[in-house]
Amino acid sequence: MKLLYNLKKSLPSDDPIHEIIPYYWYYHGPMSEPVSHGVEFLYGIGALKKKRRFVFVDGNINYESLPVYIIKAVKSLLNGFNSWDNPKKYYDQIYIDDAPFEFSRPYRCLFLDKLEKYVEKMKNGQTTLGTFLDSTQTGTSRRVIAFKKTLYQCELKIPNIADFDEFGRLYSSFVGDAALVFDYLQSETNHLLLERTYDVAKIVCKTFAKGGRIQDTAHDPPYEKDVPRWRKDFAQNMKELELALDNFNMTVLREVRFDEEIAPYNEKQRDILSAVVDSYFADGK
Amino acid sequence: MYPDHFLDVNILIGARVSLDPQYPKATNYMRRQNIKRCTSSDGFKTAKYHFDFIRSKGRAFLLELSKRNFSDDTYSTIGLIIFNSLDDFKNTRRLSSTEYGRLYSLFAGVMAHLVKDIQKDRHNGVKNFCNNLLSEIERANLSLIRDCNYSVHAPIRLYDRRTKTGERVKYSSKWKELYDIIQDKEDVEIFLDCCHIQRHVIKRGMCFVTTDKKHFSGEEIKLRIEAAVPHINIQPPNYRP
Repeated sequence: MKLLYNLKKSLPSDDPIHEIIPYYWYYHGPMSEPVSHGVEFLYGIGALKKKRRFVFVDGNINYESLPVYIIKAVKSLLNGFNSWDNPKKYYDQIYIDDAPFEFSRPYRCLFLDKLEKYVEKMKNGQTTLGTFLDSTQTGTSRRVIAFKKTLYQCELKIPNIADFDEFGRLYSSFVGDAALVFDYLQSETNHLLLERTYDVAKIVCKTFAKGGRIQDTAHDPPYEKDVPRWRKDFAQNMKELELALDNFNMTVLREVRFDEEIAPYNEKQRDILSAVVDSYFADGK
Repeated sequence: MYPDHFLDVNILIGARVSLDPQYPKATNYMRRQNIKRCTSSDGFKTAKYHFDFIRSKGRAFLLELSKRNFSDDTYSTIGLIIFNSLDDFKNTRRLSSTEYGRLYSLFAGVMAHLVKDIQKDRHNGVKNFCNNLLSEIERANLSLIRDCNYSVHAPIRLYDRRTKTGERVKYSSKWKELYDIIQDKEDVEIFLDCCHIQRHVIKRGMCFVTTDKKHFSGEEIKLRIEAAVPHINIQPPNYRP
């Protein structure tokens, strides 16, 4: 799927293949039903073999029957892709190069993947988030803060358009609670809290992907007909996310405990907070 | 006055400021001793919703504002740009009048600081201010979560008015009676939360503490509600027996 995506990218923009194998951007990056069905078909008749999670061409490609530019593109791709053992790096590079939204890459590669690794680590033994991040990062000594900062930076990269307004509110709710959880897990271990956080973090990513593919910049024209269906799917997923966040919030309330005092405010902080509070009373509440 | 207090959403939100020991206008309600405070999980969610709303909409508006050109750095010109941008934002994002009112109140309240940040740095001033706003809301959220939980030791104990399937317990006839007086669906629900907790948990008289004169503590409305629901006494936070 990803290999053909890169192949397609390397073709001239007027090449008919752009119409034949349209792509849209989704949870795992570029997706295409025609490619997916084609691969499944070839796999079914034994023309392709599966090794681990990946499909390999069985035998030599008959380059003679292909146009010259495709031969060049295929050869260049196969030469460039010399490490089948590190497909993750290959996927990540596609995210880095082509993700149509600034939100996706840092959320996926710098936050969610790292959280997943920590969840795996916790399954094999107890360690705090602070210790885990110490072992995986170099540089700053305030690593949990840096981890949280990725979430805040993603918040500022949510597409600032009406389609994402409600997602923006739900994401803000997630960030608020997740930041508290990470502060807590910096020095405590709590499997339930960690797993709930990870579960919701995945739903956030999936919901964003469903909202993202609706946008013109994230799908090729042949997929335009699917947009109404995708829109309904996005709305349905938003409800699921809201419910998941409700449950997550209840878990945070039950599991997280803080002892430290909240530091006094300076004048600017106090004025901002007062305005946030006063805004609730704007309609006479 | 009864020692068991149910806190309306406006108290949950307002207390975020009054918790600051340096804040001169603090109501001090949260520091008063010998009071057992509680609220409903739905009241808590409404308070949290407000912070999430301000966080997301405030961020979205400030990101739009950061695209504006602040060529003239006088206070009045920048202020005008901010309010004009807010009007544009209301139209492009189709904000309801309540949502717009809340955002307007927020930015009117922080105008001096926002303008000052823009004057200090025309290119990054709005983004710097946005970071300040997000930090303060995070702090408000933290103090809300610190206060409200299900523990017996919580400063504000949470109770549910929910069935096992997750729906709010219905009191249909009481709902209609209260709606005739209160005239606001959300406020009827939060008051019914209080009634539910009084009946099933506290089992004696309790106070419903609110700053909302329009729907609860106005003289006539208060008397009518208290007549309809015995054992619940409506009081403002600064009330002292």
